[in-house]
Amino acid sequence: MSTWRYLLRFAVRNLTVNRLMNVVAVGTTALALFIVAGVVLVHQNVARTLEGLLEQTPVILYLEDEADREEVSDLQSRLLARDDVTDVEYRSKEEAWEAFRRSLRLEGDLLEGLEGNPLPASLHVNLDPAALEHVENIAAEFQEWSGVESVDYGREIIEHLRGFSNVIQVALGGTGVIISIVAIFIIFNTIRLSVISCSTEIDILKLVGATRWFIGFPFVVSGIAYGFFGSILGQGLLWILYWLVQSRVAEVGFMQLQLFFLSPLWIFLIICLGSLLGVIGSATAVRRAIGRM
Amino acid sequence: MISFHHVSKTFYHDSTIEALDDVSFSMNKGDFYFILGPSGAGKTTLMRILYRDLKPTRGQVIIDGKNIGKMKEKEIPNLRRRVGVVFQDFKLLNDRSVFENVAISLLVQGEDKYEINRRVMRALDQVELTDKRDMNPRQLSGGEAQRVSMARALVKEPEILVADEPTGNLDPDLADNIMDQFDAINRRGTTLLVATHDYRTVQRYDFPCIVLKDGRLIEGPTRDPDHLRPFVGVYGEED
Repeated sequence: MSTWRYLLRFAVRNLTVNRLMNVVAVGTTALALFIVAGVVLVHQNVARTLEGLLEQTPVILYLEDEADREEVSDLQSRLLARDDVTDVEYRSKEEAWEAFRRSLRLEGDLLEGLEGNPLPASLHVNLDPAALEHVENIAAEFQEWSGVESVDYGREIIEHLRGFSNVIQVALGGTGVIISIVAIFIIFNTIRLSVISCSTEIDILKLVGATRWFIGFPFVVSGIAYGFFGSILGQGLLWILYWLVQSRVAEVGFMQLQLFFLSPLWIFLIICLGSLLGVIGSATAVRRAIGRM
Repeated sequence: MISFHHVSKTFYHDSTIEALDDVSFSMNKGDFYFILGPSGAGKTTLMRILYRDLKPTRGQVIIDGKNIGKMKEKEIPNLRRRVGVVFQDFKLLNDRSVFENVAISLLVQGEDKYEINRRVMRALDQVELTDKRDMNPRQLSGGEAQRVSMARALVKEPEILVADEPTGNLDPDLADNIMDQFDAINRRGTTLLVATHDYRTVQRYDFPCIVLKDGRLIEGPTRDPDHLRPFVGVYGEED
């Protein structure tokens, strides 16, 4: 028998006593990490959806009716000279009117009552993907240019999605923090019971010269195991939920909704978070339950 | 090697209990002392102070020049590796083998498995239990279980061995056998302190004796029969 083998056997033995408490500890940790992973998943998917929307949606500079051909040409040149602009397309008032008619699928008779063409000419600007993050600032800059009446970059959609994402994240994040604290508390109590059930062995270990680290190590390993298995279970449940949502909500409104599961890095980080919850709960329990040497 | 200087220990619960009161004595390396006294005399408290399970309320306990009452918590494991402890109730793990019970003393020191195997077998040989190495403590007699407890203390080659009523649960023949083992251990150079309330055991050996009563040292260390004779009636009759 070696020291490490003894310590690991001790840890495994802890996991086989108080089975109900072990299940509760793993279950609560799983619930906490299910929610935490859910927050990350929502955040990542909203961010990717926003990115996709922005890539598909050009920044539109509506031009003043007074802007002449030379001014429009200047604007196009200024836009194309920028590093963050990949493409600029000019759409005249007539083209805008035709596109409007097509989009509403209206016959000419219905629009005959209108006097003239109220739609402005515009420049449709595609930004470099790297610049999409700052689209609001870029749009504000364009707004200041001479000859530009107004700028549209799909602000309402972005704001709605961001607002939705923020509400979900705050609600889930708050719940996740509360349940994580509950998980730490339950791990704390489970380990405390394990320490009490091993009190004879702990007394002997103290008497033969074991350090606090040596006595506490198997219990901290048990705590890490609760966190590890809890995080695997929590993320497994989240994957099942993700799979159900993805298979049933393939299309939302006008846009294809492409969902993504957590990246391997995030899966790893959430496993680390679970293990950390286990370390915090078990180390606190060991510190208090073992008492003085 | 061991010095108690005016050591007192007071427990504060519902009432104040003076478990040890101004106890002073010294031991040299290789000495064998008995501590004689009835239940509640303070023998266990004195032992527990020696392996720093308790801190003295007043006074000093010096081991090799170090005041163990002032010892930092992280230094205590090192002290306990130098002091072997044997109890009346053996304190064995019934779900482990005899070998594993003894090996636990070396596992905490991080010894490798070859060294553990070598030293555990040597300790079991010293207490004549090599043939019981794979047995469970529940399968052993009281005397054998006590010898496992002794092997666990001996395997770490302690400089000091303290035994708290080691023969208290044993019949006289087994008790004599255990005491002979302690005698043999002492002859190999280990300093020994054995607490007992059994005057018959004290009489069999020619070792100095300290007598405690109500937490006070009332006699000794002495081997003088004239000094110990008054206690024959006091403690001998209790058995």
